[in-house]
Amino acid sequence: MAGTLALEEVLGTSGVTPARRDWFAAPTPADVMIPYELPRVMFRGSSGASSEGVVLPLVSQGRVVSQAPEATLWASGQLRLYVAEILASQWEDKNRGRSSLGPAMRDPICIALRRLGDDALALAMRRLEGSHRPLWLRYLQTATDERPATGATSVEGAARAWRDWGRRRGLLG
Amino acid sequence: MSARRLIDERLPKLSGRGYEITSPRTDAYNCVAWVARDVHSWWEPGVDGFYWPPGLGDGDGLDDYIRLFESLEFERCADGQLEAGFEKIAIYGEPPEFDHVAFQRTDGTWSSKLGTLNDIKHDQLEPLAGTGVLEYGPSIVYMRRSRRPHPLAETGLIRP
Repeated sequence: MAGTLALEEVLGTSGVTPARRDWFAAPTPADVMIPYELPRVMFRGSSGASSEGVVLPLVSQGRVVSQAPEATLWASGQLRLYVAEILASQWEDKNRGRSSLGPAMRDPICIALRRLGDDALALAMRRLEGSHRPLWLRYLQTATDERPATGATSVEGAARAWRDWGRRRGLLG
Repeated sequence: MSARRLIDERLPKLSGRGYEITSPRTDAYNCVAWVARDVHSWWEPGVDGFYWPPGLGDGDGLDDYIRLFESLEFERCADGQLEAGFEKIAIYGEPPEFDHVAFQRTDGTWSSKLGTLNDIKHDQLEPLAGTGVLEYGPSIVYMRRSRRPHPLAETGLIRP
């Protein structure tokens, strides 16, 4: 999959180093593989011009790369949230059939999500409305020092306790 | 995406062998709970809101799950052949990790709750195992105990 992304139009130059910018070069580097189909997205720059691209640099040979190129992507709040949603969906998809979720916490995608801090916590709160609540309950307990669901006796009860916690923290509307 | 397609994508060998979906998709319980006849809890250690029997510790490796099943009166046995008077389980993993457990019905077929997906009835164990990212670990440990009723697994009362 090749993509062109007018990086300066998306992010400006703030926080973008030349080395990181290389990740966005077209055509796609040969070793970058996208294991899941990513939607093409339109970016509109300050000049009003639009460019089409895909978010490429997060996954290499089926794994999230360890050099944290997301540090560059995070220069754009909107792009950061967009990528977080993609990562969350990929992570859910990979673990849909799992009954033991410990290994999922060591998945590079999970580690990348944890680097997002409160943005990922807010995302986890929203995902507690979905059909992968055990995964996100384990994520929340792993990623925070909080235990708002202590004493809960079901997935539903724990999800409710975490959502209440998220509202109190301003993470969930 | 349909439940069957989601299952076929994860377990492609199972797709060719045939299986029957026997429950709606739900994240309220998992395969371990299914063996314990509990469709209201997710059995896994160390997470608030999940269930794990007291006294078993917080470890979540294959050996920890074997200890759990021993606490439910299962003991190791040689294979998954149907034996009169016994119910058997097949525990999948790639040591030290636990992946899945399937329950043997009285007719010799198997019943599995697939994570947050559905319960299924399947004839064979092997099609669920493999080295694919989404398949269950290839090592299978068999355990058995005296047969006791599991009406949901036997009758398929939970229907999609």
